Amino acid sequence: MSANAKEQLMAFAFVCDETGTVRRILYDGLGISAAASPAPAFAELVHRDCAEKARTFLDMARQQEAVFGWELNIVIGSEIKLLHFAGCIVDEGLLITAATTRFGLALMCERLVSAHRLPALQRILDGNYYSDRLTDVYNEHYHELTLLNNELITLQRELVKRTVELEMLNEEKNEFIGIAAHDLRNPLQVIDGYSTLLLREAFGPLTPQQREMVSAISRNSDFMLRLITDLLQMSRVEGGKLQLDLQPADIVDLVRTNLRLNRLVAQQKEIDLRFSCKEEQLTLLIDSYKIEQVLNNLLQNAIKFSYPGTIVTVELKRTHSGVVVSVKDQGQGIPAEEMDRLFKPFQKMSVRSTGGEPSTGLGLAIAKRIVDGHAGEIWAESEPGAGSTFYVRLPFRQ
Amino acid sequence: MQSTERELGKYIREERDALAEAITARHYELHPELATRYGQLGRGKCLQDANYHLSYLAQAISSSSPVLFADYVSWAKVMLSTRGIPAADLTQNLQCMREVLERELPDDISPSVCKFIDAGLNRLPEFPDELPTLIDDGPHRELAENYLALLLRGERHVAARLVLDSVDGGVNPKDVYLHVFQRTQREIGRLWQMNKISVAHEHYFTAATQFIMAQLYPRIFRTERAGRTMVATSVSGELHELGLRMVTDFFEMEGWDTYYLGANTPAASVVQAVVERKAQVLGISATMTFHLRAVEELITLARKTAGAGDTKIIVGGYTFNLEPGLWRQLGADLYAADAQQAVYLVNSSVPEASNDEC
Repeated sequence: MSANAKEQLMAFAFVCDETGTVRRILYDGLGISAAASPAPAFAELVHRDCAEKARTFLDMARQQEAVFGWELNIVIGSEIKLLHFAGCIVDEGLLITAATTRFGLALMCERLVSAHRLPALQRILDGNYYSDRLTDVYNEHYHELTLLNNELITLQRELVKRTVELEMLNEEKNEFIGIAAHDLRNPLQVIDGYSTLLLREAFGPLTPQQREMVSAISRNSDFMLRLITDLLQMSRVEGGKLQLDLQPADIVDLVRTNLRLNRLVAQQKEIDLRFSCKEEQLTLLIDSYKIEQVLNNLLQNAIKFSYPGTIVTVELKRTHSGVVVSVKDQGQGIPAEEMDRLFKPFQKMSVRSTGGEPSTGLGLAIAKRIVDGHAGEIWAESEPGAGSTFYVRLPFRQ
Repeated sequence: MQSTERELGKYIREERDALAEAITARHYELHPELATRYGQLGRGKCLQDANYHLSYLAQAISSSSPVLFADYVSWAKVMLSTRGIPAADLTQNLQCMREVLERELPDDISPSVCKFIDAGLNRLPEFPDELPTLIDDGPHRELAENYLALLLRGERHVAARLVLDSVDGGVNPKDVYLHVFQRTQREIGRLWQMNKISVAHEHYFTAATQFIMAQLYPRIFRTERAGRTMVATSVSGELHELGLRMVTDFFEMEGWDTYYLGANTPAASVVQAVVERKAQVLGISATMTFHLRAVEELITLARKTAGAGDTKIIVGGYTFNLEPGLWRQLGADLYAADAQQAVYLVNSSVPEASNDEC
C-alpha cells in the first residue's frame, strides 16, 4: 500500500493472537491505537452491546478460516463508530480488518490480499461476497421488506379504524337497547301489577276463561320484564358499565342461601337438590348480589333442563388460588357443536326446558361477564344424554 | 415550469447512463491516481455516484430550482466525506459533469444547465462536512433521546412501552408524533448520512417506529367524526412515507375520515379513491427530488377527472421544504411543512361538512 493510499482509507487492520489480544497493527487509518491501551484485547475495542456478537465473529473467523461483512460498533475514545469487519486465519493467529463502509472494507481486503498471502480471504473476495451486485441485492431486499412493512402497517391502520368504528357502533347499539329497555319496563310493570291484582280477584271474581286469559297476560308480562331486566343488564355490561361492589363475603353461605331459594321450584319438578362442601366458611372479595345472580342462573338452568326424579348437585371446593363452584345435573346434556356458543347472547340451542319454562337467552352471557369482571372463569362440560356440569372459578383477591 | 427546462431535464434523464459513463471516464482521465487509490471497485462506485448526481440535476432543472441541486450537493458532501471520499473528489466529479454536459449540449443551451451545476459547485466549499444532532433542546427531548437509544440497540418492545407509557401518563400523542417520531426519524437520516449507522439500522428504525405508531392507533382513532374525508398517498416508489402517515393520523385525530393509500397505489387508483370517497382533500408527499414528476402527473390527472377536479390538493415532504414556490408550480392548492400546519391550513380552507344529510 502506498502512503498516499493509506491516508485515504478510513480503516484499520491488525493481527491478534489466540486470546484475542492485538499483537501487531498493520494499518490504522482511524486512530484506534492512539485511543486504546498498548496491547488491547479485541473485546476492549468493541462496544459492550456488541460483545457477544464480537465473540461470535472471532469464533466464525476461526471456524471458517475467513469471514467478511460483519457490522460491529467500536469505541474510539469517547466516540462509538459502526464498522464493517472481515477476518481470516494467519500464522500468528487472526488478521482482523475493518472499515467505515462495506466498500472500504472490500478495498482494504483487496490490499491486504495483494500485500500478504491470504488465500482464505482471497477465496471470499473471488466469491464476490462483497461485490456491488450483492450489495444491490441487499438493498433490493431492504427495499422490498420496507414496502412490505409499509403495506402491513397500512393494513393494520385500516383494521384498527374498522375495529374502532365497530366498537363505537356497538356502544351506540347498547345505549339504544338500554334506553328502549328502560322505557319499556315502566309500562310493563303496570301491566304485570294489574294482572296480578286481577288474579287475586281484587276487583271481583273471575270466570275460568277470564282467569286463563289474565294468567297468560301475567305470565307473559312477567317474562317480558325479566327479558328487559336482562337486556338492561347486558347493555350495561357490554357498554363497559359493569360496576362491581366488591366486599368480603362468605361464598359458602351465599351458595346455601341460593339453594334454599331454589329448593321449592326443584321440589315442584321432583328434582333433588344436593350440596357438597367441606368448608364451613370461605371469605372472598366479591359483589355478593351479582355472584348470587350467577349461581341462581346456573341452578335455575339445571332445574329447567332436568327431568323429574333426577339429582342436581352443587359442589364447592377450595383450591390453592380460589374457589370452584360446580352445578351438575343429570339432564339432557348439550351437543358438542353447541358448546362454543353457550355463553354468547341470544343463541338458539337445541335443548329444551323440561317444564316449558321460557328463557331470555341472556342468562349465561350475563353470568360470564360477571365472572370475568371478578377475574374468574366460567365453563361447562357436558355429555348428551348424561347431563351437564357448569363450573365457576373465583380467585382469592386482596 | 418552462418547457425548455422540462426538455432538458428529460434529456438528462434519458441519457443518464451514457452521460455518467462519459463523466466517469473524464474524471479518471484527469485523475489517473484514482484507479490506484480505489481500484476497479472504485470506478463502479464513481459511475454510480455520477448517475445519482445526474438524477438530481435532471429533476432540479425540470423544476427550475437550482436550490434543489445545491441541497443535494450539500447532502452528498457530508455523505461522501464521512465515508472517506474527500470533498475534492466530489468537486472534480461535478466539474467533469459540467464539462461533459457543456460538450454534449448545444452552445445556446449549455449555460442554462451549467447554472444549475454551479449552484452546487460554487457553494460546495462552504457546505459543512458534518451535521450537528437534530435532537436539540425542543420539547420531550429526553423522551426522544431515550427512544432513539433504545431503537439503535434494537429494543423495539422497550421503546414501544416507553412511548405507550408516556401517552398513558398524559403526553399528547400529537407531541409524540412531532417531537419523538419525527425528530428521531430525521436524526436517523442524519446518522446514516454521517455513516454512523448502516442501511439495515435505518430500515429497522423506520419499521419499528411504524410498528409503535400502529400501537397508538386504538388510542387516537376515537375522535368524534367531522364528516370530512381525506385521501393520502406517497408517489409510486417512495419509501419515505412516515411523514405522510403522521399527517394522515393528525387528520384522523381531528375527526376526518382518512384513507391512507401508501406509496404503491397507481395514480389512476388514487384519483378513483378520491372520487369514490368524495374526498375534500388529497394529500401527496414526496421526499426525493426525483419523485416530483410523479407528483405533478398525479395532480394533473386529478384535476382533469370528474369528481376529483375540485378536491383540495395539499403537498408536503422534504423536497417541498427546500423550494418555497415548488408546490404552486406543480399545481397544488396548499403546501405544509409538517402535520400540524397541514391540519391548520386545510381546516382553514375546506368548509366544514353541512348537516343537511342528517
